Amino acid sequence: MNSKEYNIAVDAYSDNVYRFALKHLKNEMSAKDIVQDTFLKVWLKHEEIQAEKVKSYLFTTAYHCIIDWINKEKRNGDFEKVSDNLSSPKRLEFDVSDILEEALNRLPEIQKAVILLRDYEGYNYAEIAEITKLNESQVKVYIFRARQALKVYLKSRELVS
Amino acid sequence: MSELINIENYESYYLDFLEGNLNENDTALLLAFLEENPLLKVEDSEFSVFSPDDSIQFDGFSKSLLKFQAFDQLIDADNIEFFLIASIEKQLSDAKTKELQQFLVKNPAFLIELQQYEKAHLIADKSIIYPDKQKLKRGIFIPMYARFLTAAAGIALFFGILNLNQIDTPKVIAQGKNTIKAKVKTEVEKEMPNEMIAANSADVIQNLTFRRVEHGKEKLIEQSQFENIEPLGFKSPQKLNNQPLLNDIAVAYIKPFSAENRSDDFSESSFAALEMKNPIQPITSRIGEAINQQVDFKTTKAAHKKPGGFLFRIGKFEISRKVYDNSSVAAK
Repeated sequence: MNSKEYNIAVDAYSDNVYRFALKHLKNEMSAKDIVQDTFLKVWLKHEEIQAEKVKSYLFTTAYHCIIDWINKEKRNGDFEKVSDNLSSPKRLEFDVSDILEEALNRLPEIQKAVILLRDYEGYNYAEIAEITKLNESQVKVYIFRARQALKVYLKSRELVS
Repeated sequence: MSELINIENYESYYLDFLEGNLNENDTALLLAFLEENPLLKVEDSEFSVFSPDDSIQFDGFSKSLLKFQAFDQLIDADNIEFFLIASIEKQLSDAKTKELQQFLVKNPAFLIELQQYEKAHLIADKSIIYPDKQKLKRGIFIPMYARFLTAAAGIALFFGILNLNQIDTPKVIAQGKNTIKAKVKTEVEKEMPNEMIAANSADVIQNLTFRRVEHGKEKLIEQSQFENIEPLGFKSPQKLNNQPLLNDIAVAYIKPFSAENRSDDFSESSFAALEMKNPIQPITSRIGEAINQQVDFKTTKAAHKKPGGFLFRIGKFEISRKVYDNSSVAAK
């Protein structure tokens, strides 16, 4: 991948990577840092990366940056507070997207990652497996469990409202 | 076992008894022993037997996830969740989709579940965008207008080289120097109108001021510096304004210098007499519009008694080169 192709990738995928990071971290500054780290790492290896595979490479890198960030924050004790705060229901009125957002924040990180890659980016199981370093069966199980959890949460909130 | 139960071995019998594994004969012996040694009896509360909690079950959905070729199993109430999600995930074959539809017709309560799954699909918020894309980009960024300029300069260079190949520069240079004054005088006398010839041609020459352009800057040249100028090509006082001269490093031209005819537009005056054409008119126009400056590129080929060359100008900056046809030089 040359610099021109790299810059095209910036235009094409930086928003996607940013959304992916933001949904995980719920923190704009941290999400921006993840995007910067991700693209920096990809740039450092741009000569080894094929242009047509750059998206997958970007998400793989972003995912691992996110996991590293979460682990670091957990050690510092900050992430739990942020997550708890964000995942606690703030509004009582019914809005599917808001409820799904809450439900998403309650998912384990790995389920959150696979469901975001599946729904936001439309990746198939094999691609998600490549990004997350899981096998396809594990990806399928995580996606199925995530869907079930989202549905259960959505249903419970509908019953409440 | 069926051996004599005593203080040494009674625990083994006792454990089998509590677990229900002791035969009738040994049970009778153990009970007789415990009657004789009541202190060795264990209360029920002291002996806990754990039994499985049947209420805890691995649900059909989870079992389905573990199964090999799970999609081959028949759809039922236990595994319906698995097939509903598989349907949402578009993992079902046509046959299985049909089977699911039939199941839902028979069990409409699960239709609500299906609708819930359809709702539980995340949609990316496209309004969330990364704000600093430009900072992520790498490499040297060349503005579009600069790319056009580069292209135009390249073309100019190409034509310049092409024209240079058509002249014998040493011969042209050899024409100047010692013969300059004589040539100017001869040419002026030959070409001047009659009324001007009446004047002393030496005076005319004396009044000529020479200007020369080096690296885009124009400067006056004293006649004592004529040696560096090639006095080729001018034919009359009127044409003197327009006849450029060439040395090996820059375009020079000779023109009578006075308040009336002095022109700040060197290139226009120097090339106006030549029939120059712009071979890349659309490009130069577009560049000019883009940078809001006058951009021009003109070329002409050297012909008999006519100089050729190129002119490339952006705003006040210009590069020009004039060349002469070998045959015309030789004729002189």
